[in-house]
Parts: sequence; structure tokens; C-alpha cells
Amino acid sequence: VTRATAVAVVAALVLSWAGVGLAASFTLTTARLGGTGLTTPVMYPYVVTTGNATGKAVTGRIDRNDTVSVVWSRPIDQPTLCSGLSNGTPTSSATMTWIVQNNTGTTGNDVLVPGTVPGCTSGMHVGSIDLGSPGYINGSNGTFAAATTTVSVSATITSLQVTIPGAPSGGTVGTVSSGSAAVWTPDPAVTDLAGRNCGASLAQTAATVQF
Amino acid sequence: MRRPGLALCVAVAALLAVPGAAGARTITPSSNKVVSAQTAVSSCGALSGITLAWTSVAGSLSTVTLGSIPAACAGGSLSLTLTGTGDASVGSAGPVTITGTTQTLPLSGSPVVTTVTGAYLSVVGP
Repeated sequence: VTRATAVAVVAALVLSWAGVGLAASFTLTTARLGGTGLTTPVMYPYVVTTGNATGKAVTGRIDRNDTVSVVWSRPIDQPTLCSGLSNGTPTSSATMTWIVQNNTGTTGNDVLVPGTVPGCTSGMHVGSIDLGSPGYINGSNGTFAAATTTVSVSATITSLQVTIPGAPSGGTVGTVSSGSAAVWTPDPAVTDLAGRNCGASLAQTAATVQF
Repeated sequence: MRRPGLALCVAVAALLAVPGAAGARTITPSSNKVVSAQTAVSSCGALSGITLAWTSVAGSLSTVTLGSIPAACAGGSLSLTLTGTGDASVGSAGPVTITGTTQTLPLSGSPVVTTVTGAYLSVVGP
């Protein structure tokens, strides 16, 4: 019996190991392999939109009461946006100048930037918005004076809205029938309460014709 | 004349072989040769220093921009996965060939930007 058991064990091992030697082959083609987790942005430009508040029939033209809105992903450190603002104030309004620069974008599009504003020593650090077409302002820069600008800070985000006060001085408004998405490049001077800025992140509109 | 020893041998062999045989049923044999070896692998550079920014369209991500990619990684193949709740994938980019120290990649999945909580990157080669 002892001999028979030994034969059985050997036979079993042979049968079992037959099932082990079946690994698929592979070829290592490089000795360079690396991986890592990256830090995802916390503070970034969340949304940019333009609005046709009056419901006018002609879109693609900057008119009185049209709007531009931007939203940061975090409550901002308000003095970094404007030196005259204070944290703890949920809503602030200013009457200020906005300028549509004629064809100054990297691809020749018109660009909306903040102008002078009382109470903001170094200006309103919103950044710039490439409007996606060179046709919104023609001739020269269009200056929109006395545009109501409202900043709202909630527990989770910050929004800023500009309301167009009327026709600009300088350039003349045009009507755009086709264009590209508007792109907001935020000013890196603006930070959240932890000191984080938007880095290289951008926000675009879904619409390719604004206003 | 019957041989009880041989019968017992066969029975024991069958019993002992069954676990191995059962395990092998799920494997499709492709080779009966086994070879093992090892080789050292290393990254092309300090991947943890790579920065991540993104572009959102109406609140959903369309592209990601990677910065500070080690120059030595040029020519390697880069893949990126964005994750959300439970570390589940919500979007991905690549594999693409690294062409510079800054690279913008289109995303598949268009995740809502607020759902993204993690990003994982891998580089193979060059």
C-alpha cells in the first residue's frame, strides 16, 4: 500500500503540474514605465456665458441690457479681484467701464476686458474674454462706460455679471452671424481663500454666436 | 486475481489530481513552456511634477492641458484617466505620443467638471 500511495502521489503531481505550465508569453518592449496621480484643479473658471436679456430678434450684436457672466469654481478672496472689495460681503456692485478691443485676440477676434473702475486700485482682475469673432466691434475699440457690474460670492462659487449699458463710444457694434465659442482667460491674480488661482484653465461658451 | 493495491493507487491518484485538473479547466493552453526573468524599469522623469489644467465648455470638460512634462519623456506614450466618486473613471485621454513639455489633449467622456476628483497618468517609453 505504501508503494501504491507513492505512485499515486507522483501521478497526481504530474497531472496537477500539467495545468500549471500554461502561462501566456509576453514581450517587454520598454524599460521606461511610469505612472502617477495628478493634482486636479480646485480653483478654475467654471462657466462663461453671454446673454440676450432683451430677447431681441437679432442675435450676435451687443445691445443695451445684454449680459456677460463669468463664474469661478470657488468663493474668491475678494480683494484679489478688486482692492476695494471685502471678504464677507456676499454681493457687491460697481459702475465701471468695459472695453471690447477691436481684433486684438490671438486669432484676430474681439476681446472684452475690464476698464477703469473706482475703488479698485489696480483694476478689476477678471481677465479677458475672446468673443470668438472680429465682428462685434468695428473700426476701433468700443468703450462701454457706466456698465453695472455685480459680484456675488456664495458658499461654493463666485459669479460676476456685466450688464451692457448701451451703445459704446469709439468703435461701432456689428452683427455676427457665425463665429466661435467665446473663451474666458481668467486673471491669475484672483485667488480663492486658500490662495489658489486658476492656473492655465479656461472656460468656453457653448454658443458660437454671442449676445 | 484482483490487486487491491493497484486499485487504491488509481483512486488516490484520481482524488489528488482533481483539484489541479479543475483549476486548469479555465485556462486556454497556449504554451507548455515557462520562463521567468526580471528587468529593471524606470520612469522617463519626475511625472509627479506634471501640472494639470483644463478647459470647460458650459461646465463640462473638453480638453486637459498638461504642463511641466519632463523633456526626457518626449516620444513616450501618455494616457490620462479622470476619476470621480468611488474612483470610477469619468473621462480619459490618450494614448498619445508626447511631443513637448506642454500638451493639450482632447477628452473622451466630457465629464461635468465638478464631478472630477482625481487624475491618473501613465507614460510608457520612450
